[in-house]
Amino acid sequence: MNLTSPTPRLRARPGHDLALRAAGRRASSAPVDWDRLSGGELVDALSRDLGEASDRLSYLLLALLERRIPSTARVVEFTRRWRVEGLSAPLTVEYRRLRAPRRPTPFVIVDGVVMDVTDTSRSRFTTGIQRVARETVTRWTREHRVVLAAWDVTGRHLAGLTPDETGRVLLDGAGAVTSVPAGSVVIPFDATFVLPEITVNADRTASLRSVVAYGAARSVAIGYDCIPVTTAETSGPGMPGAFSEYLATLATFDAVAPISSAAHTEYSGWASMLPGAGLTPPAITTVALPAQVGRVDDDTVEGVRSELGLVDSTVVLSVGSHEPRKNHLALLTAAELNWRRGHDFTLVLVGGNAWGDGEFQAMVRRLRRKGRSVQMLSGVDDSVVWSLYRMARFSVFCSVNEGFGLPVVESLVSGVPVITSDFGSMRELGEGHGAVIVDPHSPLDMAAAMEQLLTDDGLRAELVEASATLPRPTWDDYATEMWTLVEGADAR
Amino acid sequence: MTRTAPVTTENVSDEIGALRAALGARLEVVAPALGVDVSGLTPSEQLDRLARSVHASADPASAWLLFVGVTATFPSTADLASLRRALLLATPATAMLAVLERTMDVQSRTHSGLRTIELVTDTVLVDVDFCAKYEHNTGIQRVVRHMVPEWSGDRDDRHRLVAWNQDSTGYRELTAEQVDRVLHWNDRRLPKTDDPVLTDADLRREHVLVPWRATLLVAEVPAFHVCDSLTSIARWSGTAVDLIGYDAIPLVSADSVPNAESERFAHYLTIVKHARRVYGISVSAADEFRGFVATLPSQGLSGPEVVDVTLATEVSPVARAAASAVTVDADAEPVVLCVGSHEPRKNQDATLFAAELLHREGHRFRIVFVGGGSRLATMHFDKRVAKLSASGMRVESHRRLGDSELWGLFGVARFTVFVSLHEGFGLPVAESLALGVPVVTSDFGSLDEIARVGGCLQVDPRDDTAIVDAMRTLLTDDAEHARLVAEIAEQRPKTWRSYADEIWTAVTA
Repeated sequence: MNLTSPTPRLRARPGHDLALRAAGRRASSAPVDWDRLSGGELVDALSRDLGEASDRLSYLLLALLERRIPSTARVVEFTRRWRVEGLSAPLTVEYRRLRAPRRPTPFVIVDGVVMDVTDTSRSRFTTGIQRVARETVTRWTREHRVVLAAWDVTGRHLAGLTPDETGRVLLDGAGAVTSVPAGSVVIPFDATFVLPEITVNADRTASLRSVVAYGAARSVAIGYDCIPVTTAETSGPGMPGAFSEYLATLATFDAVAPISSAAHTEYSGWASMLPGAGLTPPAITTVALPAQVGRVDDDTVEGVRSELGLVDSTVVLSVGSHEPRKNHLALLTAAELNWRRGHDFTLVLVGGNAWGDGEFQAMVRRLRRKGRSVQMLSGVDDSVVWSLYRMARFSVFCSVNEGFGLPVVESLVSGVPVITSDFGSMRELGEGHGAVIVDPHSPLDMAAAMEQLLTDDGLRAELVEASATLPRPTWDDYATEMWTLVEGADAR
Repeated sequence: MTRTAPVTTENVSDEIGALRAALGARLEVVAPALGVDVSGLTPSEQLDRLARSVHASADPASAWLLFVGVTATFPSTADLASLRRALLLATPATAMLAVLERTMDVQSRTHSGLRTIELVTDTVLVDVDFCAKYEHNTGIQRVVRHMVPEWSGDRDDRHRLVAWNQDSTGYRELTAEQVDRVLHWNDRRLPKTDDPVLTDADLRREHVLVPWRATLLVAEVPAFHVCDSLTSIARWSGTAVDLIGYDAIPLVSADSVPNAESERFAHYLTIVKHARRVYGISVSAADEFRGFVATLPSQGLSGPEVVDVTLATEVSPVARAAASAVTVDADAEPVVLCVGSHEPRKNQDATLFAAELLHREGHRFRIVFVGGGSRLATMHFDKRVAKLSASGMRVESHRRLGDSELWGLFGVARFTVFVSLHEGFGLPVAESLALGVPVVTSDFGSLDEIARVGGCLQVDPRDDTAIVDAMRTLLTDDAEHARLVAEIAEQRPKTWRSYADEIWTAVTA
């Protein structure tokens, strides 16, 4: 035992030593052979060579020692102890305190582009947010180096993907991704951090805040909408609160890319609330989603038509889950008003059950009892959905708030007129391109528009023609524009 | 053992008779407002005639009032939308059935059948629910309890204080005890007691105050479970709803508040969407509401007008007296005071750290933290305080302190520190200035608005070094300290009288 040492000698822990050597190599420019040091020697050398206390370095040291992302509060506290007592004292405390696992978890410090694809890597959903993440990253991998990472269930460890997970993220035609040994902890440091998903997991949200604050040189997120807080009355319990936390984390990003100009309106409004908390808002730069639609041949359409018993029917289609925001109760009311006026058509509703759909289900049952033709489909293949669009006389999508309004685009790309809401993204996408816009809060207005489209062949033909004018940017365009934003030509 | 009256034909029919009479009485109240003559009709004939009229008009306010007349409860947005859809699909002859069908659930849930109602028209209703019911007095309650009493006297007949009834289905008059809590907080006329819990029987006979083509000022941030009924009022009832906008902390700084707070606030924002006006308590708070309003075109709404009506900055004569009653011992170590509830957003950890650093530099002072907080929020801090205290630093943390002791601390303080990360207003800064004590505070938002006028050193509260430097200056630089004190001496605090006047003028405009 060395009795002259200012601190009692540390018993060397190999896992901790690996961490501290990595910190030394990464953050110190001193000519030290880090591999020759261990335990207290490492602590002493770092205390000498790391220079001024800083939150960034505290984050790096704690993340390496713990093999997980430290909370912002812990980082700040560590820096304060470092300032008051010097680095040696708090680092020794951590070195001693943290349990050393028998087999230390491997780690990688990443300073390139890190993409957080947690949900995408674990689900096989093919719509919505996951779709955006997959189409985008698939294209990026052809030309750029990207590390894919996912948070574990605790929301504290960011890890590289397993081959299975990678397979769920990348679509056909992807290039190579920078591989991180599966099971390794990823520690972003001076990284470019990209969040293409929404997170409503409190721990993941908090960890992201720490990565963005201390581990990222630049951070960019895709902004889908702010609906859970701007239209809380249509959100399921728990969502507005969790989404608020997600937004509080987005507030610390450098840039947010809304998917439409309607989403831009929401994010800009929100961003202008931030200076009151002393925050510099992220740059809000729209990167509009493409008109992303599949194709089906005529045989498939006819096959689906006869399978669903729609051969002699006039089909009115509505695609969207049965949550209150999609406004299906108004649609059913408007449809009933038309049935009563003697119009003959089948209302086909494609979409899953959802939070708060009790009254919707009851109303469908009531209408069916009266002999109204209502078909409900859920969990069907994309080819069935495309076929339904193709055979529909028109579709209806009168949501009370949407970030994008995919069904509007799907309908118009299929050459089918759509009745949609007279504001926001739905109006922006559809107006002048084959949509009839109405006040979704008025079932009477909706009913009148439906009656026109049911009865006026000339109008329908005009709208079909107008649908050809819909701008059709591609996923390639989207991915390229997003990459430009990630690289940060407009860095703040 | 409870005794239950046996069910007999007689008591059932008594009950039905009473319910029918109560319904008839309520419909007689709403009929004139709906422009329908129901004199001489039985309750069912009245209902039929009213339902036909509302069906024909398709006016949402009429449907709202009819719902209230039938059920003696305020409808949720879902219930009213459902009633309106049913009426849309009804014929004149089936309109009454639609009304009955769409109100039956509520009536069987709330047992409100025997209630009486009264329309409150051409009056400002002031929702002071929390202040009326609870013995609690921080932030929002202090605003309400300062503002509302200023309207007593000449404006008595033009406003009416209301609270939600016990099942949160409608407004009721305040009890004498509740009036006392709102109007006489500092000089109570009645002994402090808890409100009695009403029995089901009491609840059935409530008298409900119904805003009708009136103005409703929601002076507090309402409870989660009334947000939807208030949205319904703001959106459909024809009554203009005004709000005092305190801050958007639960949204903007959601990382620093409990999740449930953010959840409630999001539902509060649904009322905001349909309100007429929001009165921000600072320019900064108003800007936050303006930011929210700017999101609304995406959903086809224009939202409320947002107006700056900044809070009063005066302190009560009682506080001034208590502060000047203490004598400052010129030889004692200078006192640094930090007031504010204990939560991460208030940033007390940074202040304590700065104090520790200054103590290590050799500066001698006594630092006093005052403010309550949950155990979770205070545990780590208290441990740190104990450790520093044991090491010889003069540091104290008071979780509960009487008003006069607190004012006394202002009386001896050399300066105060309030480096919060986000505030709607920043009462402790205003109080400190009103009592003549310089402040170290944040350099943005509502705190900047107060501090800019003078008497403060402003810092970036996320920069520990800046806080240390400012505190060191005020500990050591007598000239700078004197300069700030002189700046404060020039200030004329805004009175509660003028705040209350500004709100009143705006609400009645």
